[in-house]
Amino acid sequence: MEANVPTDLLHWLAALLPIALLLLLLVGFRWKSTEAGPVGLFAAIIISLLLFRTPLETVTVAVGKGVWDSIFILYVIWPALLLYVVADRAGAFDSLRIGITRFSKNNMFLVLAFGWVFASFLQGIAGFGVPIAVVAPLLLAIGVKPIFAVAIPLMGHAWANMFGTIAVSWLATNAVIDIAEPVRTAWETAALLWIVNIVGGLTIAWLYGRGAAIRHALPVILIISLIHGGGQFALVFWNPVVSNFIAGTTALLLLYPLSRWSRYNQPHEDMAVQAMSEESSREAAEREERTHEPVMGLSMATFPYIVLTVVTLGGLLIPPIEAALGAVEVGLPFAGVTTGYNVTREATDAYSPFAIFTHPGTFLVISSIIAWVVYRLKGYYAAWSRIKEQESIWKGVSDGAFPASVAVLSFLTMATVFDHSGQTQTLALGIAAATPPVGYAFASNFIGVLGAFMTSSNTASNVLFSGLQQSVAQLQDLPTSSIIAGQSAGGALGNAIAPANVVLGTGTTGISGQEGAVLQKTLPLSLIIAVLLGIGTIILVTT
Amino acid sequence: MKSKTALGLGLILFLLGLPLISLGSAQDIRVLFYLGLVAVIVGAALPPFIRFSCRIAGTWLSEQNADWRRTCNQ
Repeated sequence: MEANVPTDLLHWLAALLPIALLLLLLVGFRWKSTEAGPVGLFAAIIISLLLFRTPLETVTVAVGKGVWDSIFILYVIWPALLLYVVADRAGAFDSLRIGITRFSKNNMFLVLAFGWVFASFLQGIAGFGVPIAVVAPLLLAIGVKPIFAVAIPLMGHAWANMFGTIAVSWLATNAVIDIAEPVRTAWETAALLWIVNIVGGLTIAWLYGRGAAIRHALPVILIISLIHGGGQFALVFWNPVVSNFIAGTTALLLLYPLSRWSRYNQPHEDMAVQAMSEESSREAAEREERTHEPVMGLSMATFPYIVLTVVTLGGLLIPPIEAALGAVEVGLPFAGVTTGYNVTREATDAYSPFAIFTHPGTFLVISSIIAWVVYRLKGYYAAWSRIKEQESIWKGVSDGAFPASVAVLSFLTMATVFDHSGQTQTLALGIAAATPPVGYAFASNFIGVLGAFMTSSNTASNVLFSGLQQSVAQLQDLPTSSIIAGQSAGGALGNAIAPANVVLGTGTTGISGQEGAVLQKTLPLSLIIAVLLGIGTIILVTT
Repeated sequence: MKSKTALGLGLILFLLGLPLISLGSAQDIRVLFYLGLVAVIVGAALPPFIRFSCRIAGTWLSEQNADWRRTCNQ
């Protein structure tokens, strides 16, 4: 029997309440995510029980599945923190800061290189929040303020979600709906993602130093965006699966010649820089260089991240290795459940199976172990501890991972309660019912944003909403390719504001609890991009 | 209880709930099933509970309760 969720205003507002409450507590009242997340979860459970005819049994299964979904992300958070702490305790970040100041003198260029180009490259190969967890501490090391160090990769990596990670979201979308015009859908999606990409680059410059920074960085932003957005757009006609990886890697390689350009190999002109710490990284590095020599060179400081790149590429791009590693999957059984509105989830023997050896967390663990062994053999831990007293690796990891883990668990269990009770469908159907065709084209990406906001996953957003978007497009006589493109681009963009992604960054930069401050930066910028995506989708459906 | 200890306990309770709910639902063992839900709910409730406890401690018990003050300041 078809699900028949209510779409009246009372139920729509009730379904919106837990999300609004979560945002209000995080952004308005600046609660920690570990406190706001559970309140959002409890609100979702209570509304499910009282207004969405959801039996306690269904809520319980949803909660269990939410915990299981969280393990995918926790298995990035803990290893990413481990990699960071393993490098930090050896003095790698101190050496990186000193080495980078010798390599390039232009902070704006460095912020774009790490926060946009490297973050996008990591999304292309790893995904699952790795770009934020890895890049945020790197930005911190070059002197970016912690809040900005988290906000910048959030904005910079978003565009790469749909076709990144070997196009897992694209493949999942193809699995859940029958796409009538796959090539058209792919290029329309890539066209909208180009908007997310170029505006992402511009917003990073804006965050760095407002209009003056945009004027200074505009040439490099246009060049990189042509490679990122334009390259992906051109490549989806040939092969969507590798389009993002090739575009991201090309842009990464292009950084070296760009860094030799006189415009970007010298310090930029005076401007009101708001993203960097009071004492610039360069000044701090020069001061530290006077008090001690770096314990290692730049190549050894970046060694863990080079190992991560090599291990990930080897694991995912060499088919026999990928096939062998991907053969081991783990999943837990859950009973089938339903609600009074016939929202049904079938029983499963292995819910959302987890290919542990091809998960980015495993690549991070392997990289951490290799980095630890090499640094230890070279005596960096002993050398750095003579310069600066060190806490244990466990303390460094657990201080960040405990709050981040509880927050992620709360957010994702809230998302599965939403899904199993039908609240997600009520929200989406309510938008569809209240808007005319052109309005729906405009709103289609907002539904994608909503899905990714709740689940911190472009894939999950598309799995949740692609079927609905396709049905509404057919009912309203809109081209389904354009509406799916809007959904997909929104699903990518939503990753810039997903609380579970924000937590990844705050956890690895030591500012757990300041998620609201980060969202205050990314939320308005993402809203502007969503409006642009809406306009872009209208253009697609009317041409 | 330190706030880090509370978060660690919350995390353990969340994770403990998973096998209980899965096993309980798949094997239809109600006790395990709802025990799992209780574990998750208690794990989730700990951080906001500590926040409100701190608010109360800060308002009425701050002079008497040094332990809470330490927890809330962490």
